[in-house]
Amino acid sequence: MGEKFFTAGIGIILGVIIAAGIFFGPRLLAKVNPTQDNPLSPLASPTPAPVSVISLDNRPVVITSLSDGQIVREKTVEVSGKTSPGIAVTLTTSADEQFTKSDNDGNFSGKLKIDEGENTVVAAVTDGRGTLQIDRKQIILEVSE
Amino acid sequence: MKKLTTVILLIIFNLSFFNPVQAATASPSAAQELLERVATKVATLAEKLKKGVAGEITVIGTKTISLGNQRVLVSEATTYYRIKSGAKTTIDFKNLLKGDDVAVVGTADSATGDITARQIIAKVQRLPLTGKVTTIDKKTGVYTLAAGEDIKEVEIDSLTIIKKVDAKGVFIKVKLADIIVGDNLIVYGYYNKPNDPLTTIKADIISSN
Repeated sequence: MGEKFFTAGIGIILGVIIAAGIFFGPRLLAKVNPTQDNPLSPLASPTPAPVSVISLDNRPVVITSLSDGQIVREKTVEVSGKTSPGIAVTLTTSADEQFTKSDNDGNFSGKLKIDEGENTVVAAVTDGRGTLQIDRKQIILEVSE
Repeated sequence: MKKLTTVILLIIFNLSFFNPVQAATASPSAAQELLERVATKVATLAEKLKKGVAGEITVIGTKTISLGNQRVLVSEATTYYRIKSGAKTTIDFKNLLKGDDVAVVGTADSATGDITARQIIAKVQRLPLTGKVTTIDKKTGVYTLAAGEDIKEVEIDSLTIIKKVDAKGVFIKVKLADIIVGDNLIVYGYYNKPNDPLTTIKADIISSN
């Protein structure tokens, strides 16, 4: 009788240990290395995301919200970027134009209408010598089907 | 043997005790989560591979076009449009011509760099040019724009939409005569022939002397 209880006890203990291992094991491992649990997470990427550095010394005005070859679906595009603080910025496309001013940190933004197909967005500022300095981005408005 | 059987049965009993909990809670949500992650990843990859390119058609093949060095593949799923004077028409591959300005919307093959087109939009490209007005020839309507070392000729006439920022910071339409030497201009236009002045459809006066 005692022997049966002993055997049953061992069985229950082993069963609890194995079952607990199966149940809690993956969770514990996930806490040790979160990316292993989520192989699709961006954190698992071997290459770190590029950090954009804007040098205003070399580039007086930079459009940061758009990239060349970017495909957009809306007929209005948000244009934002960086330049010197508190200066006039002109934003243009072949279909629209907007005048704005950069804030104290040199940030500017505006919205411009674009046409279907290819569009070149220009951000322009005038430097101290009265020379126009620009940045441009070529984007494509997809045709709505 | 009997003892071993008892131990195994008890282990199975314990496992069955834990598993229903796991099956009832973790498994369906985990599967759902995995599906969502896969869908997100697929969407992210599609977004990464999505590529737009614009330029002049230099070569037309049987099922390809080239924009300079960029090869573009077409398929049954590719749709073609031509935009002229603001009006859009659906066209076919056979309607594309060498020398057409096109914008291509598609996905890039990361191995070859080729783009498989989903849309090809033919439209005369409106190029921007910027610079300071240095000379004005009123007879020919040719204005010379200087941007550093770069000197460009543009043709501005009464059909060009000319705008200037007013005191309130709003662009308003002005006349051709309002453009004077020393003005900074941003113009958009196209070339009728490679060495011709840019035919300007729009000119924005940015600053005056």
